[in-house]
Amino acid sequence: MRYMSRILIGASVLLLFGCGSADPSATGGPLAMRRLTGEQYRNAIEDAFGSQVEVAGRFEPDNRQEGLNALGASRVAVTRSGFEQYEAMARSIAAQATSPELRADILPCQPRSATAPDNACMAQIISELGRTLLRRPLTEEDIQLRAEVATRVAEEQQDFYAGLQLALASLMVAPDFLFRVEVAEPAPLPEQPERLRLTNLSLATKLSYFLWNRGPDETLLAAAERGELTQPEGLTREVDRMVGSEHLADGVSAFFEDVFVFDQFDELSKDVTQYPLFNNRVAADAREQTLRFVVDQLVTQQADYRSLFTSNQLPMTRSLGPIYGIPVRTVEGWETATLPAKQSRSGLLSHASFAMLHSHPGRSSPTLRGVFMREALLCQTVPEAPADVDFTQFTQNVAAVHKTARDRLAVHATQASCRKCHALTDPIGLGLESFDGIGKFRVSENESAIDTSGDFDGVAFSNAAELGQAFAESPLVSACLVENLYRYAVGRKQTNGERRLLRYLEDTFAQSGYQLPALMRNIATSEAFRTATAPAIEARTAKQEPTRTNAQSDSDSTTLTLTLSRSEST
Amino acid sequence: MKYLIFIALVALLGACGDKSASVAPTEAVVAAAAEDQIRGFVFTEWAYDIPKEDPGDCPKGMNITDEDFFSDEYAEVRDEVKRRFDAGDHEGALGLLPADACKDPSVWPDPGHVLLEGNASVVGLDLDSENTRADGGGQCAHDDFIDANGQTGIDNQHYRLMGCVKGFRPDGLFDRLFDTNNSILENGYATLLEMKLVEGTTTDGRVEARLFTSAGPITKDANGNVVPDMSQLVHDDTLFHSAVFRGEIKDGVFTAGPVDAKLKFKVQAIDNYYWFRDLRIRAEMLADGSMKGVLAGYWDIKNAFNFLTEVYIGPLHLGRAAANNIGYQCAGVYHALPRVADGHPDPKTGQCTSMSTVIKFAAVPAFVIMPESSVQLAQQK
Repeated sequence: MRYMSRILIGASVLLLFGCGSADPSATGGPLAMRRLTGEQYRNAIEDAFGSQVEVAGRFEPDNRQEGLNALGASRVAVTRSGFEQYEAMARSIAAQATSPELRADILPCQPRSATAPDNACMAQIISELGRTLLRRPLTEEDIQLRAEVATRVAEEQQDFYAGLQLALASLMVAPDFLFRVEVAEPAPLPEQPERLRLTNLSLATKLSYFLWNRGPDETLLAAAERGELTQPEGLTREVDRMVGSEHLADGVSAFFEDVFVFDQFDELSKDVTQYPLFNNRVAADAREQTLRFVVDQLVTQQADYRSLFTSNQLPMTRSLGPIYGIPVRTVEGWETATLPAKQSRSGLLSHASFAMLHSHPGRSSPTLRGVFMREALLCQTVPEAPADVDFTQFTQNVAAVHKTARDRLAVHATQASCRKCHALTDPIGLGLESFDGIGKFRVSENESAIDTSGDFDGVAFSNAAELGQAFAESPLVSACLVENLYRYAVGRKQTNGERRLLRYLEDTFAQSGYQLPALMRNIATSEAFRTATAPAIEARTAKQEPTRTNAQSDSDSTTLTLTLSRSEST
Repeated sequence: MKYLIFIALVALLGACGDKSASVAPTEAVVAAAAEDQIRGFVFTEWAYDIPKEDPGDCPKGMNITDEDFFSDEYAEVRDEVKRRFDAGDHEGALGLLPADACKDPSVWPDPGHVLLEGNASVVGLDLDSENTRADGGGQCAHDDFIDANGQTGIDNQHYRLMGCVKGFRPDGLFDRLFDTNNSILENGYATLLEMKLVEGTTTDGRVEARLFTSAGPITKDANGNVVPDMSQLVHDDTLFHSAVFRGEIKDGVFTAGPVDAKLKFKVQAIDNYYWFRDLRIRAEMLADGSMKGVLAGYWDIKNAFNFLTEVYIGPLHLGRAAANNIGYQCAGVYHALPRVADGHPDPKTGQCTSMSTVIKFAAVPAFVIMPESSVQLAQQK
């Protein structure tokens, strides 16, 4: 029997990956529950209620771990004030959804009377909208508890919709809505009782948030309910469908927004005496420009990932035109522009978004840019600056002596405690010095010519365009993309046991011509993505009952007790 | 009555902030400008040459207004005008006043208009290539001015016409509006210049140029200045596109023209356009990529009267309110215009139909974008 199981698994793997080599066996990491990001919350509301409903409120800050918010999402709770925000948003959304203007479009049924209870309609609404919100079919208990309370309120207030608002709001503060709670079951490998596989519904949610940054659609949920996602054919079919969907752009955009730390745009400010061109509109456009660029290249054009570092075409708005020094015909909206060759500007590294995000408020910063490139694009670690650094060389009042950043950093590097790290960051950061603190091209600083030449791990370059070319040709860059995407997909740092898997993913990524959708497909169908390791205690009893993370069931309460006590071992 | 006028002119006066600092284009633009065959500019300053100190060239005093001229009549109806105006009966209130020559200049005989005397120092160009005098004979005879460099023959009859109007004197209304670049920065129109190199280099070559009015207001940076290198869409209406005119760049100076041009202008309640004939440009090309100089040409006098008098706030014609505030009588200006006109004599009567006028301007690099619709119109033509 054990032998037969292995044969079946082997056959399944082959089915999953066609004639190619199968992904190395790798057990996934521990189960987790991940709080929805603000964008994921908005997407969930849109999926359930449509785009006419506005989401107004503040979300608790994300928790960036190991360079990704996706990793920190399983290490955050909901604070008391945060819950108040969720509750206020839930009530507001429920009120909008049941308003006379929208209710006919949003609700699957209308009560016989707006001033009296209607149990059947109430249950139908809770069941259908709750299925979208909670990403699973609701149990009888889920429905009945809410329907009973809602009916009581409807009776007391003689208002069906007052009761419904309460029921809907309760769904939107349920742990199963605010958190993606992973549930696993024993994998069919008796000799490995510690090995779990995600339930169909958990896998559906994991897939949809990885590929679409939103909850499962009806097709995926239905496939999960039929148990098809634990079958290779069903999983492959659904993953292929999702990778081919227009929603893939949302997933790709969300991933790169995380890798590029674009959430920092929310707090970005500049000294307008230095950069009068900077304003909120410019910052928002710069952020969107890069994300549009990435999606267009990697999803629409199915381009080689490495071309992100060399492409001289990018989306452009009127407000960004002066930064890039190019004409923009479109008054409102986007058009495709070609970067001027005379600026030696091409690829991601020369985008205004990076320049403004990785600079100081009043000046550029080769070091910050170098740190970003090393950490986010090369997956390397740059140690924190020592506490006793003398930063006086970098203030503007000494600019008369050390006119360029290169001059100032050269002085700074004379300090032994600084030299090692700056040797890592500054050579590549200085390659981008032709872009000022908001990304506008320049050839001089304090009337002194800027030297953008340098060396990137043995490859000489003379300007930003050549640095981009060097990045495109570096195997570290594509390997880092694989690592980041895998960590983003599984929501944790890779384990030692997954090293072979990552190498395999790198190889298949290269074989695919560095096609991101192919890489996403391979990750989504990998064994590690679908499986989990059981906590030691649970593993002994995890034979019949699904293993669940320590969120309370949402079925009996509309309040939360959401403190994660278990940390993920990586 | 003053209350009425004050109300009407609140919008005209507006709040005047500090004079905007000049903008500094990047080295990239300079480099681009050095290589590109086509260069665009957006005007950041537009002003008459109003002296900063009283030059003492109005020995006959300043022009008076209808409010001064009809002081008794105004006094008689002041209270009723105020009452009606406060009650919202604006037309009824204005109807109590003496006939409005700003609406119909023929309703009053010439009350007279004081012209500026002498040949004060003003910027400008010698448009007719002559040093002329008013007593030289002919209907278009006029006294020329001298510029700060001692250049004689400067033609600027607009200054002669308005030089003794208080709104055109130091710290007068127009002086303040121009100092703050109000017409450009506060939702007005921008004037655009495009030049195409046809021979030689961008520092020593021949160019073809065009002037346009922009489709909308300029974009300001965080300090309230015009953003350089911005894409500026040209107005849809080809009325505000000049024909191509020739010019040259030599020794850091751009000269071009003549060309006829209609250029929109909006400042507070004035929303009109200039009709310049035989307009010429002379501007210094500055190291930062910007330019600074003058537009000098002949302003059609009918258009000029219309420009001064067609002032509205909503449907309310406030040409007289504007004249009272600026410091002239519409009837006086109407009759003075032919006397100062020095250009484009009518072939039949010999009467000049335009007056020499000078606009000081500054401009920074911009991308001049032609609208799709106007391109289509041009092709149809």
